[in-house]
Amino acid sequence: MPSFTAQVFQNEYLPERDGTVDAVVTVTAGEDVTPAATEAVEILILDRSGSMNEEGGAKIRAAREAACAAIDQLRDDVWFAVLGGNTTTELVYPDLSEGLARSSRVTREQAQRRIKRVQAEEGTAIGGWLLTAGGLFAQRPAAIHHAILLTDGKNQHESAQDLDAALARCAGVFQCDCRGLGADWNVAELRRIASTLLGSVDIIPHPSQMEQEFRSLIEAAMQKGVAAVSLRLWAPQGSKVEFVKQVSPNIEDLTGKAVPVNALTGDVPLGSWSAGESRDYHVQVTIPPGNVGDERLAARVMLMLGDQQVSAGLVKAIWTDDERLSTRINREVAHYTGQAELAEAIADGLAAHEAGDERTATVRLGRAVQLAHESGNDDTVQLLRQVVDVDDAESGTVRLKPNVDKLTAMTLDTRSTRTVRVNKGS
Amino acid sequence: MSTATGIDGARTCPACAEPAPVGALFCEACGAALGDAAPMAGSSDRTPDSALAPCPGCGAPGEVMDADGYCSQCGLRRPASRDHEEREIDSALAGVTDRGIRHHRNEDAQALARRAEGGAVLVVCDGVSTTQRPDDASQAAADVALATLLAAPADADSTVLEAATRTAISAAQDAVLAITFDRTLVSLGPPSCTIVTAVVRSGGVTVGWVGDSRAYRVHADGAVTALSVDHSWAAEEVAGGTMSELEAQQDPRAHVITRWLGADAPKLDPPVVTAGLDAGDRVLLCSDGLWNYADTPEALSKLIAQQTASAGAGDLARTLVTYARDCGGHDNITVAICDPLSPTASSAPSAPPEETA
Repeated sequence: MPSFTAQVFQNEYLPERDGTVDAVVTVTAGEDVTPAATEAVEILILDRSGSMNEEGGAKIRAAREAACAAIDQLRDDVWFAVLGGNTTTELVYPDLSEGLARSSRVTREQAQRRIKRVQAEEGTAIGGWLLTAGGLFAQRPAAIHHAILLTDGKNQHESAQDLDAALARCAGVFQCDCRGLGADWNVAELRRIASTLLGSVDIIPHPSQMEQEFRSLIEAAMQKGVAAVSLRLWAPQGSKVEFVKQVSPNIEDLTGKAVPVNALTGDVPLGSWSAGESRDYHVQVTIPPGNVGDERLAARVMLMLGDQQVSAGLVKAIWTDDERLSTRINREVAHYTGQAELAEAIADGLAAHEAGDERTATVRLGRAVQLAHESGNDDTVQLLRQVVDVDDAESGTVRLKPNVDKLTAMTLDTRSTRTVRVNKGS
Repeated sequence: MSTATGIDGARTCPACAEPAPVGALFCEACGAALGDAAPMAGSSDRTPDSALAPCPGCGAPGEVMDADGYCSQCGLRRPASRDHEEREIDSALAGVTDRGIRHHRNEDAQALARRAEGGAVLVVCDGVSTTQRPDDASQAAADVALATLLAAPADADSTVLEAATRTAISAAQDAVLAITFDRTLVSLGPPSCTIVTAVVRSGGVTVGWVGDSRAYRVHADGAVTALSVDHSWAAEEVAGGTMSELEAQQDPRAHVITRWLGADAPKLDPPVVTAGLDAGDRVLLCSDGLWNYADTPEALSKLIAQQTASAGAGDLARTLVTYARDCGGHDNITVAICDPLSPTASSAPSAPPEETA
């Protein structure tokens, strides 16, 4: 059984009559979580809608090259397929009769020859692409299922209901990292797809950056050693799990994904993991307040591999009238509360900016600069500096840049949920 | 019991076969732990076995308690054995430690045992709540101090016992320093506790302390005198002559301790004093969980006077702990009492008198 650890960070002391318990749980996969004995399926989903012909065909050419580079990264024996999506879905490789191909030097070269012939035309119907991928994954039910979805546009050629239905069918079947090329796709839409399918979302501003991005996505996917890890959360009678959020490496609200196990317990899917991978989760539970001197288990956080518990952590509540104990600020909880506020400030600021409300945009993006600066989230500070001129980062005094191009705003939007971990040194 | 039992029921050390006095936790000769022998013959452990008792919070049957000691329905922590622990070595040597009401766990610890000639060693430690693992700190300090003091020769005079007391408190400090803790958790300090020790022999008692756990002499007539002076803000103000005892105790800083055992402790240099004991005198050690509700010798004397004169050490300790709980039980409460001149056999039929050992 692969090893995992779950470490709980919290201030377990609560003042009288308070029932809100916050904890950050760091989950780390052991070095034995290796892909050696694991079956894997990888599917590339390439947008081949007409818009990919823009920029003199640079996009579709870059997509072909990136896909070929990705195929090169597949290790032997991994099952794979390449889909080309527009208004319908085309199986680029292998042939429909073959289902999934098994990676070898021969099959990878065959796939690359087919990929080079992919032509761009027609529209975008992402739900259909996902359903086709889901059908292929189902052929290898026990394997780790991972897909990369590339699109350069909005989902215009099927209804929103079609996409919703497809997502509902595909959730839990495979994980999908989504990448938007250029500035004509919709961040919220692609984020929703990625979130539902437990994947990441990011922007590829220029076609030339695609090959490197695909290479590293496949490299990461090839490291995954276990699939279907879930976080089982027990909370006592009369309590309410207010939220379960992944907070590192990025913020992802998982609350709605919980599947009830029994009246007090629910499972939140965490997807696949590779050796040494570490993520943080922020759990907030409200429980009936106890008397001073009472100690209650506010939540038991169990890491499940299927039905097997591989690690557990305890979130406690101890009621005290000693203010020195109850007013302690837990560093991890405070830090991630700040990172969540940072993401919110960016989202608010960008929305206000788009709506022409410069005043709100300046205030919120200023707050974002301040939070990013004080938490050491340097990447986010850099992104914010593309949008605002910073007079004083410490106080969050900023001025909106007069001309912010769409690509810059989208990049900030897409990456606004990225967090940094607590600086243990400070 | 893993400890060998010799003739007359007297136990011997499993490591060196030296006879072990009734109530000893560690061998006096070689220092080896006497294993699960404690509590000894004649002592009683009144801690209820709560493993299968219904949950005190929601009434769910005991079987629903999980392996970590929480109710799997309402999450309430199962009462721990350390929540209330009685050590009644014999009718004249006993200690009671209790979680109290307003604290979630018992961070006090006690350790006591008979030494030869009707003497005894008593230790009370009080973990500092705003530090990490204070319950482990107090237990480690108490156990190590007891073991060190039991190693003192039976015929040691006060000079030797005073030196042994300094050694014991230093060993207790080392034991606290050995407890691992999370250095990144800056909001809770390193493991820390107070300590008060007493080596009681016929005619005298040697006391040492660090912090605000106290030692008292209870005279045969019920009068009480303090043997220790708190290392606390209030006591230091009074000693410095800046304010009266009453004024100092009313200051919010009154209970802030100025010395303790632990990694961030100021220089140890524990005060050590020896006092004479007359016939019928008793020695009482306690944590602030008791003296919060009886902070002067007079107040304590009044409480003790309410007891019948014939009450044993265990009864008196229980009564005082109950009193503190009834007053609100704001802190953990520990009371350990020794009557040095009472023979040990009076209420402990299975324990042979020390004098025959």
